[in-house]
Amino acid sequence: MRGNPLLRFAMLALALCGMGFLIAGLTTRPPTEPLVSVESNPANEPGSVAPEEMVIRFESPTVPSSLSIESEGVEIAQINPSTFGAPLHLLLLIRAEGLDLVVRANWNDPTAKTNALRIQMDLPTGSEIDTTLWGNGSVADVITIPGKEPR
Amino acid sequence: MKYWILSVAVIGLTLQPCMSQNEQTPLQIASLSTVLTDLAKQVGGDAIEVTPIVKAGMDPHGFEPTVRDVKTMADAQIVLASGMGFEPYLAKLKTSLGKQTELVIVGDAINPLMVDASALCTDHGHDHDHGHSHAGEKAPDPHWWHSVSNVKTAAKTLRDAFIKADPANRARYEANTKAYLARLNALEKWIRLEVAKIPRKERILVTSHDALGYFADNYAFEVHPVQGISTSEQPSSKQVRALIDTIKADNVKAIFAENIENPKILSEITRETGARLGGTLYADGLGQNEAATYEEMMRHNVSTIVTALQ
Repeated sequence: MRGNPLLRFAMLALALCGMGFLIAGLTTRPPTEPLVSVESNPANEPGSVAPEEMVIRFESPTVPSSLSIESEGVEIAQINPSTFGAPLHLLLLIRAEGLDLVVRANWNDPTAKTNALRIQMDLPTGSEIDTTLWGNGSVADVITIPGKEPR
Repeated sequence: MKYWILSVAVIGLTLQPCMSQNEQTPLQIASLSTVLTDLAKQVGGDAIEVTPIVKAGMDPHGFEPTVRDVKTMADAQIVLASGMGFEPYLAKLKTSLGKQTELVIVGDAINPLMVDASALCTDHGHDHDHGHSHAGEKAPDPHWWHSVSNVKTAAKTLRDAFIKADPANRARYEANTKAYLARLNALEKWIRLEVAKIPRKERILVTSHDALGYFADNYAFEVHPVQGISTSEQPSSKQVRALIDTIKADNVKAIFAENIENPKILSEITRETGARLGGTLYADGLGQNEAATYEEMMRHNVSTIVTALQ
């Protein structure tokens, strides 16, 4: 019933390794990989909208040490300093109500007095979001993508 | 010895006119709103003394000043009121205040959110069976403090009123307001980041009465109140039935009670719909513990809403 101690140890180690890979898999994805938003499968909902590829461009006088995007409380993208400046492609479901994206950036430079992050995004409607976040050491704010009528 | 005492007295009398309002007695303020009481303290600091006429936990919709309250206000240099119809007794009160008392109606400086006037009808002293209708009419929603942007305007209005009444303390009022506005900017950003955690299609607020219109307007919420704008308006069984149907149709996760309300009707609605009671919100003014200041009130309300709807 209790089993071989060596076998039990091996199973425990295997389980821990599995958990480790799972965590690593969630946090080490490629920085500019397109990601589908966290919303439920649109195909199952009446009057649904299709996910759309959005391209976001970032600019800053100083490359941030970390940059992330959240949607509805879940992180959906991370940009590493090495890939900062390359356009970020995201697949997003934009419903009639619109979608809020939280952009957070940090600069590991306590001597910097002011930092800025410019965010540009072409919207499916043809218009553009072009905004700059200002802060000392870090910035965080909400970018709202206007809603789109269901098909 | 006599000459020495006389000299000290003369010096004292000579110096007195040079002292500012603050060094003598603080500017005397009376406030008809718990939110304005806090704002006055933030803007005025030690240079003012504020007497709350409407206190935390009281229902301001049903408040009528007593003779003693009117006396307190008449003795003050400034009386602060929310305006936009929140204090239906203001016109009468104005005639009771002397010329030395300045009535500052803060809502007059704020861009109002216009709502259906029938929701406000009970506030001006009659019910809907009085022979005239308000259908199609619009009136300002008086709960302007649920928008931080409006509170920034209110803080500036108070600063200007205090400077006018007590110019000697101009620098203090300006510095206090500047610091407070910076905190309100931080609060505004914190609210934006917190609310962004809730999917936009789930931003539905079912509350006791319709007090969160400005908040809803700022952060894309839809409000379904059990009562109207005033707490004195009781819903009909037909209205409650319609609300239950809406909650079920929209799959609303939680509904919210208010600190000054009896949540009995809300409890019945939760039983029928399966939505849970999401917590208590401070809608008509500040509380005594967790929401003793405006910033605490907003943080409490937003945390309660986000936790329940996320």
